Amino acid sequence: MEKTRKNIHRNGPVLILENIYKIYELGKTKVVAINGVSLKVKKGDFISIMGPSGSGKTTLLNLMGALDTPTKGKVYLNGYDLENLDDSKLTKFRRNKIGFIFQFFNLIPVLSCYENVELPLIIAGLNKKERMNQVDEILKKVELERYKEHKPNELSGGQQQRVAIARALVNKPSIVLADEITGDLDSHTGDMIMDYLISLNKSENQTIITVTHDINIAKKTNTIYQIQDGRLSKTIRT
Amino acid sequence: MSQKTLEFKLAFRTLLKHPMRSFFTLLSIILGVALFFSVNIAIDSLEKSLYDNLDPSELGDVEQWIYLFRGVLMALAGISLIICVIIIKNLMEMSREHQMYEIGLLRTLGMSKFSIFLLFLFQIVILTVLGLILGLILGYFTSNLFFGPLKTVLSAFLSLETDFNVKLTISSYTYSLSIIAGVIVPLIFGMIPAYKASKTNILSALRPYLRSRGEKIKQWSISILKLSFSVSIIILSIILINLSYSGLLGFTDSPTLESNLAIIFLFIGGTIIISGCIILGGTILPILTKGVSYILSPILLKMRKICQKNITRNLRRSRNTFFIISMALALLIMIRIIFSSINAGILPGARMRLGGDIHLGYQWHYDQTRIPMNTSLYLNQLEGIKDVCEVKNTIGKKSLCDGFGLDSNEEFILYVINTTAYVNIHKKNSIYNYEGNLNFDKFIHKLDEDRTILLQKELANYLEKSIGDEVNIQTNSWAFPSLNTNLSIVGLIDILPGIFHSYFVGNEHEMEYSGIISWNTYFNLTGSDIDETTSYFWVGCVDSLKANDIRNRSYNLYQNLGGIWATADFENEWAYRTVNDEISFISEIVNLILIIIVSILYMAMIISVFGMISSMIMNVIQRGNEIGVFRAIGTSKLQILKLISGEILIIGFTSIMVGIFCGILGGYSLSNVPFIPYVPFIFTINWYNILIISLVLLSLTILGSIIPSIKANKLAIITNIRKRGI
Repeated sequence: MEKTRKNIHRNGPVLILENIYKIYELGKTKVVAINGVSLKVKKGDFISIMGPSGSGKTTLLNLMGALDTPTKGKVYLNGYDLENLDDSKLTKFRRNKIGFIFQFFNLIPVLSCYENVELPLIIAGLNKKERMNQVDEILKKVELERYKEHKPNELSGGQQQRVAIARALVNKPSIVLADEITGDLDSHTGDMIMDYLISLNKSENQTIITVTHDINIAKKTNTIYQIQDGRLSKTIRT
Repeated sequence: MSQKTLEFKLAFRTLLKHPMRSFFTLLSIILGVALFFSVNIAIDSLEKSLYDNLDPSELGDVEQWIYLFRGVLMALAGISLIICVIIIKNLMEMSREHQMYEIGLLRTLGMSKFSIFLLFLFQIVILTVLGLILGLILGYFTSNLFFGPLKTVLSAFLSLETDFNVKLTISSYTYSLSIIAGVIVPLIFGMIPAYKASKTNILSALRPYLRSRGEKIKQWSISILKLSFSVSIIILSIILINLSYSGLLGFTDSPTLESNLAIIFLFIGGTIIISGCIILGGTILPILTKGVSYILSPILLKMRKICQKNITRNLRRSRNTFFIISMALALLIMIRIIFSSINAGILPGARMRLGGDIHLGYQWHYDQTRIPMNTSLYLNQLEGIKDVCEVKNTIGKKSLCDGFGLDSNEEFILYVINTTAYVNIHKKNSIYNYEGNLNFDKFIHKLDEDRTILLQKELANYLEKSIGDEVNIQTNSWAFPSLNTNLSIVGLIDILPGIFHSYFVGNEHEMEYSGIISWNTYFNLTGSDIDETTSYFWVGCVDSLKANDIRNRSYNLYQNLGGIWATADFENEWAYRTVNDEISFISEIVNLILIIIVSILYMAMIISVFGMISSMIMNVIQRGNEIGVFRAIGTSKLQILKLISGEILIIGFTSIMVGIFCGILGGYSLSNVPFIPYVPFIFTINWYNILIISLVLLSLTILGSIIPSIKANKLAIITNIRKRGI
C-alpha cells in the first residue's frame, strides 16, 4: 500500500474525490448534501468552491478534510484512501497533512495567540525549540509577533483570523481547507486575508481550497467550482 | 511543553475560566469528603475512648455495636458522597457540553481521543486533589459535632453507667478509607463525561444540528440499555433486601456480625432500589414531564408546549436536574418514613412488652405468689383505668408441654389470662399476630371453652401438633399449682402482647416457648377460685400516655389496702412499669439516632441544593444564546422568565413526584428492619413532612433558576446572540 501511495503522491493529484455522495437524515427527511461529486486537486492549486447556503460547500470541505466519511464514493488524500484508515490514523493525518481555517476563527479562548498557534506542533510532538522557531516564523509572516501573548478576546476579528491561518499553516500541511474564512470579517479585512492566502499560494506553492458564497473572494483564486444541490455543476477558469 | 502538559494546561485554564462551575464542583467534593471523614473520626474517637475509659466487663458487645454504627453512618455518608459525585458528574457533563465546539476543534487539529479524555480527566483530578485536602481539613474540625449524640446513643444501647470523655482519635483505617473514597469515587464519576468527551464525533461537535440515522439508533440503544439496567438493579436490590432480611432472622437485642452486615446491606439495598427507580424515571423522563405538563397546564397556559419541548430538546440537562432533586428527596423521605414508622411502633411496642399500659406486679419474683387476685376489683375502681387483666404464670424450667421442657435448654411457660379484660385492653393500639383469620376478640375468647390452650406456633411445629390436637401440660413450679392434664389446642400464636416468649426469639441453643389458658380452665383444673394469688396485672388506661399518673394512684391504693400490698417489694422496676417509662427510654434513643441520621442526610440535602442551584445557574448561563434569540424575535423579559421557570417547574414537579414515590418505596423496602429491638415497625407516612420538604426543594429549584435568568435577561440581546450556541 505504501508503494502505491508514494507513486500516486509523486505523480498524481494531492486530493481526489471519486463520485462521492453524502446523505444526511434530518428527522424524517433525507438530505442529499453531496450528490456524485468527482474532483482532482493538484499541488499548488488555489481553488474556491462557491455556492449558496445549504448547497453542500462545508460538507464537501469536511469530506476533503477527513472530518466526515462519504455515504458512497472514495476520497484519496496524498494517495491514501481515507476509507481504509482507522480513527487514530485519520487523527494523525489531520494533525500532519491538513490545515483547517474556520469562519468563526475558532481559537481556544484560554490560550494566548502564541499558544494557539503552537497547539498543532505540541500535538505533533515537536520539541520546544522547533516549536518556537516555527511559531515565531509564522507569526512574523502574519504580522502578529507583537500580539503573541494576547488572548483571542483581546484581538480584532482580522487578527484572530490571521492567528487561525497561522495555526493552520504552522505544521506545513499538504493542503489548507478554508471554510468561509472572510464571512465574519469586513470587506477590507477580508481582502487582506485573501491577499495573504494568494501570496502564500504563490510563494510556498501551498495547496488551498476555500469555500465561499462571495464571488469577489472566489475571483481571487485560480479555479472556481460551483456547487448547487450537492452537485459540482460548473467550472470556471479565471 | 509536552502534550500531557498541554492537556493539563488546558484543563487548568478551563477551570479558571469557569470559576462558578469549578467552585460548585469543588464544594461538592469538599462537603462529601468532609462528611465521610468526620463520621469516621467520630466513630474512631468513640471507640478508642470507650476502651480507654471503661472496664472491659462493662463494655459487653461494644465491638459489634461499633461495627453497626460505623456501617450505618458510613452508608449514609456514602450516600452524601454519591450525591456529591452525581453533582460533579453533572457539572462535568455541562463542561463537556459547553466545550463541545472546542473538542471538535482540537480533534480537527489532530488531538487524539485519549488527549481529549486527559483534558477532562485533569480537570476532575485537579478538583479532586484540592477538594480532598480541604475536605479532610473541614472533616477534622467538624467531627466533634457528632461526638455528643453518638456517645449518648451508644451509652444507651450498651447500658453504660460510667460517663467518659471522648478524645479525638483518627485511625489509619479512617485516613486510608476517606482518601480512597474521596479520590476514587469522584474520579470514577468524573471519568464518565471525560470518556464521553473523548468519544465525541468531530462533526457533531462542530455542527450539532446534523444528526445521522446512526446517532439516532445509538441514542435509542442507550435508552434501551438504561431501561434494562435500571430494571436489573431494581430486581437485584429486591434480592439483596430479601437476602439481608434472612440475615436478620436471628436478630434479638444485640447485634452480631451477620446482623450488622444485613442491616448495612439493607441500607445499600434501599439506596440501590431508589437509584434504580430514578434511573428508570430519567429514561422515561420525556413521557413523565409530558404528563406533568398537562397537570400544570392551568398554571403554564400557552407556555406549556414550549416548556415541554425545551425539556425534551435538552434532555440531558433536564435529566441532570431531575436526578439531583429526586435522589435527595427520595433519600430524605426514606429516612423520614423509617423514623415515623419506628415512632408509630413505640407505643404498641411498649404495650406489647408490658402487656398493657401498666405492668403492675412482679415479673419473676416470689412476691407474686402473695398478691391476691381480687386486687383487680379495687384497681378497676380507679378513674382512668379501662380494664385490669389478672395474669398468672409458671416460673422456672420445670413445666412441660408434651415432654418439652425436660432438657436444660428448653423452657415452657404457661400463662393464665382474663380473656375479657385482655381483649378490652388490646383491641386497639396493640400488636398481635396469630394463625387464622379470626378477629382478635374471637380468637382470644376461644380460650373460654373449658380445657383449651393457645400454643406458640413454633412449639406446635416442634411437637408436630396442630389446632384440634391435644397436648399434655405438666406444671411443677413453686409459684404455680401442680397440673398434669391434657388440653385441646384452639389457636396458634405468633405474637401476643405481654406473652414474653411469644415475641422474644431465643437463640438456637435455648428454646423458650409459651402456652396460654383462661382463668376458667385454670379454676376448673385446680378447683381454686377468685381468692387465688396472681403474678401480676396488666392495666389498660383510657389514655395510655397518662399511665404514670394512674401508676401513682395505684401505688397509693396499695398503701391504703395495707397488709401484703403495702409490704411488697416495690423497689423492683417491674413492680410499676408503665408505657411512659418505655416510651421515654425508646424515644430518647430514636430521637438521638434520628438527629444523627437526619443531620447527615440534611447535609446531603444541602449538598444537593448547592448542586441543583449550580446546575440551574449553569443551565441559564449556557442558554445565553437561546435567550438572546428569544429576545430578538420579540419575547418579553417576563415571558423569558416564565419560560425558564415553567420548564423548571415541570422538571421540579416531576422530580418531586418520582422522589416521593421512590422514597416511599425505599422506606417500605426497609419496613421490617429491627432498628430498635422489640419496637415494631408500623409503616407510617407523614404527608405533612413530605409536603414541606418537597415545597422547600421546589422553591429552591425555582429560585435557583430565576436569579440567573434575571441576570441573563439583563444582558444585551446582541451579547447573548453572539454567544456560541451549542
